[in-house]
Amino acid sequence: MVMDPEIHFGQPFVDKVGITAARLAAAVDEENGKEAAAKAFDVTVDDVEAAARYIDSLQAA
Amino acid sequence: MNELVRFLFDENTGAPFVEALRTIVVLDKRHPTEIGHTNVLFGAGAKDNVWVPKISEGKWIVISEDRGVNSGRGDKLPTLCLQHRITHILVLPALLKHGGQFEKMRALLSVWPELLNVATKPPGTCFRLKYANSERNRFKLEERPFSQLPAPAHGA
Repeated sequence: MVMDPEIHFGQPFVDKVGITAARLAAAVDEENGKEAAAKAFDVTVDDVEAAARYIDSLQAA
Repeated sequence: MNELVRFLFDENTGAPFVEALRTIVVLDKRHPTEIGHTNVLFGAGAKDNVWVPKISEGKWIVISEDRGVNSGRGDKLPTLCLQHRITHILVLPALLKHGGQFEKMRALLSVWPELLNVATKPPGTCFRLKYANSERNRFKLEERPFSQLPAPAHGA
């Protein structure tokens, strides 16, 4: 995960993919699963899992 | 022939969605349309203060998502778009929660004539794409008055 105040309005995003963690994590529910979310955004399941883990860790903190 | 209308999706929309929409709208010969994606035009992770002014020059209409109060994006993007006079459309979260990317596609195509008309509105106008009724079988594109937008920080 990368955070830069000048990119994506400061929201954390998946490095090299350029999609915010919040967006990918939300897509898991919206698309009914990690595989479908990965397909919808043309990223790997690992990217989706990393984003979901990151958002979960924020919510648990 | 009508004037070219350019729609630009940001990273909140996946590349496959953009490609699918492009394939559909090219069938509309009466209304020339260009569909772009920020990650393709500017690269993944482009700085906001670089890509936003550039799309202002290109007369793009931005289609993004209001990710809700926690992301802060719901306010920041309209502020920056207003500052640079970029017309933009926010897809509301309820629509995505209900049916994901397919629902977004269904909504965009349902209001397609109105979307094309957005290009005639004053630059910087903000719209929201939302359900029109509780049955969630109709959509509407609602103009958000300038008075309801967050005040630009400076330079507007």
